[in-house]
Amino acid sequence: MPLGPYTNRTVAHVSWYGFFKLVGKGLGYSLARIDVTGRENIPRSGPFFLIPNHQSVLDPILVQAVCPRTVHSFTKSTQFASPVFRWLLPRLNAIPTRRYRVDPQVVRVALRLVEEGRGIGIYPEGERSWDGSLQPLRRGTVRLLLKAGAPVVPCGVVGSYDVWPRWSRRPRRCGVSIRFGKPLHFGKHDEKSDRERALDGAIARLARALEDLVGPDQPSGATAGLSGSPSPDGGFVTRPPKGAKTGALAPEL
Amino acid sequence: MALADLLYRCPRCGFDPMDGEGDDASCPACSTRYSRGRGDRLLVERRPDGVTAEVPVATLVDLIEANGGPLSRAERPDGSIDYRADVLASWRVGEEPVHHRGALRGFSESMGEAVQAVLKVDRDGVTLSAPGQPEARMAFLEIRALQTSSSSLQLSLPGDRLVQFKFLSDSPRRWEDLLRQLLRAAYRRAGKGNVVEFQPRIVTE
Repeated sequence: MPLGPYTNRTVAHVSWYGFFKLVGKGLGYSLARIDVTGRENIPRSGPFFLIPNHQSVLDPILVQAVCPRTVHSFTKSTQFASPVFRWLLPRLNAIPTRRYRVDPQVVRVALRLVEEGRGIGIYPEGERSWDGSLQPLRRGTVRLLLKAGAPVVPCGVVGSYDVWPRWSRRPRRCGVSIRFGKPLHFGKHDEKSDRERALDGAIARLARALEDLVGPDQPSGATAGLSGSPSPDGGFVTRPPKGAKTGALAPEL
Repeated sequence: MALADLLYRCPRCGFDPMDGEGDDASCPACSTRYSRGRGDRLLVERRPDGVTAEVPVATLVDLIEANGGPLSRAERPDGSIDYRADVLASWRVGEEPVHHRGALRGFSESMGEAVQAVLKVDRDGVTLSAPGQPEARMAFLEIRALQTSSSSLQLSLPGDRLVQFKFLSDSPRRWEDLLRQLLRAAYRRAGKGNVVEFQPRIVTE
């Protein structure tokens, strides 16, 4: 009997991924009260990109634990340094990503997975946020989305910063909301010139989708550095200008 | 890491550096205390009146920037930049292929032995000094990429070189801000445009 609507696997076929997904779920639910919405937005078949914001070291564990389909996640290559993680991470379908150079291998692997109809997870901010706000999205990530042309599912993770922010040594139990958004369709852009033309618009669209999912009260730098992008509108909370006075920014101080 | 790594300067009065361990930080000058609040907020206890408020972390980070950010502590009276920190420095010695089920998944860097060193920064670049080794100078205009990884910073250099710094007694967040600001300024001075991305390569517009 299949294990669920998204798989034809049976108990006998449960993989390392399935095993660690259960472990991750146990860990996740012990650290957080998890609320999930929008699971139906994950395509039941075919390739897709899952694009979450990144607030905490727990995000990959929580998102993959509740995502109804298997996800191959881009993972920074430094994580593969220790023998334990070097053994574990490939079994979790992690794709080592060199961030100190443009990594053609990771693009090849991603395009192959798209051809095979798999799900691929990428954290487009590139690193956990220090302050919980959405960081500028990496242009290279969005270029890959445009080249591949697969549906893009934005995913808002809210509350994991509260559980375990980047600067803290220990987690604490809080509520985490994981919201899968409606898929975005950017289309397939084979030519580099097409991708460059579509780039800023795609970044703005993806940033807005993530903003909507994480909530309007979250400050954002997601569109920072965009050339020719639309001005931040109601969906964005503008960061105060440099040199602003304490009282103006935080009257309570 | 600790809250004082994020709040390396007091958001309220601008004093730098802050005291504190773990999830608590306090300002030696104005005695304001900061600790974990709910959500993306910190609990701020103002002294001596004891008034407390929950303030968004992003607002406090903006106040650090408004109060001088990382630059004012690094800036000398003559306008030069001179700042240093003890680090564990390691250079990449190779790349390891990562296979799974017979397929190449990608590559990871293998880093050499970490050595204790002093990292110095000025307006034009950084210098790494380790006992018994020649100084390594890295000019900002030569740096290909700057990326953060938890409590470390990595610099990509010409010749496919990569060096990683783990900060022993200073805030990695401060150094991330400091190097980004100085690198941006160096690019502007050289007429190379505005840096909009630092990894996987420095991109200007």
